[in-house]
Amino acid sequence: MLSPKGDKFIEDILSYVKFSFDRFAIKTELESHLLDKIEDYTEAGQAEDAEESAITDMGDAQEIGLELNKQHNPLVGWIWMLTRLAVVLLVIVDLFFVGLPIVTSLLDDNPIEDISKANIVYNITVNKTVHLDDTVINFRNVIYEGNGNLNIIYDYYETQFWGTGWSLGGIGIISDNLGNEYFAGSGGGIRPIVRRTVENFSDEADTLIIDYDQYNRKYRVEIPLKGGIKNE
Amino acid sequence: MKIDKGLLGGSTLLLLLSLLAENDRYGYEIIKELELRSDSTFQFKEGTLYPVLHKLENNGYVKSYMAKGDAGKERKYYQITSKGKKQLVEEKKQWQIYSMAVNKVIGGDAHAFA
Repeated sequence: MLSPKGDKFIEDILSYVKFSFDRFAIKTELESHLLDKIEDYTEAGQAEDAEESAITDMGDAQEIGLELNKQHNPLVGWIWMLTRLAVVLLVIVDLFFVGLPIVTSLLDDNPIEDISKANIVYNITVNKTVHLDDTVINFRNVIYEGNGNLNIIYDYYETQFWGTGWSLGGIGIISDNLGNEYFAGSGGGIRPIVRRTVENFSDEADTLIIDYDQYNRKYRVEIPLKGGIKNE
Repeated sequence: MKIDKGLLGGSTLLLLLSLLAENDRYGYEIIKELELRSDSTFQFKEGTLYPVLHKLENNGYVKSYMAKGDAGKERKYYQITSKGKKQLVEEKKQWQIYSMAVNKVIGGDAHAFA
């Protein structure tokens, strides 16, 4: 690398630069300049005083240092550093308080846990899977509550990464074997596991029917009821 | 600005931006290119180039990045920005007007810019 003389020349320049955080970058840049020049002198057969000449070509350390200092103003430098720090902190805070809850709600939130166990009359494990284009819907559970609420728990995913985003659509018309049709409230947003609740579902019905027929796409799911294990 | 005089005179900006408009370059490369193309007319204290480059960067005419060149050495390269390109057009215009005017004054109409 550079001899003590070359190092001292660069240190002299840097001594005029008050904003110490920029010194290292300046040092690297000036060093590589000197080394390039030394190499050129050496190749030209002037190896002996190559470094000496390279330093002379650079000019006066004080003049260079003072001019560099004007461009590396400590005030501007500190404002810049603090601004960046503030941005980093904001990003961290944002990730922590906004991003994390979204991620945990996506990963951990099973809507079954939203239903109070004391209210459950029965809980049937279903495991029926249907396909709508590239979307796979898997009905997991049907939970009947003492107040007449029937909860249909299902998850869905796209088999294609560029899936059509079916999630906006409903799961179909919900009825029972007695011919009653029910309105199912909206699902759980962007969560992968969705709970739909039908109010006042007949406790006499023994089959839940989910009938989908939209845009020429059809499926029909029949789920036997009352066969579930009573929740203690 | 004093440094302009120290370096190449008032045309510093024009020369540097012109070279950077062709290619991204590092400091020493700029100096060699200036010397080569001007048949060593432009000789100056090389260290004074860096405050000028840093000023261009502060003004947003260029930006810099670290990269390894052909020899595998890591160097600080300067790249002209769109603001720098606009400024270059402006500087070129001013230079032509200036040199035309000088030529007229010294009676060298024949050598004036077309």
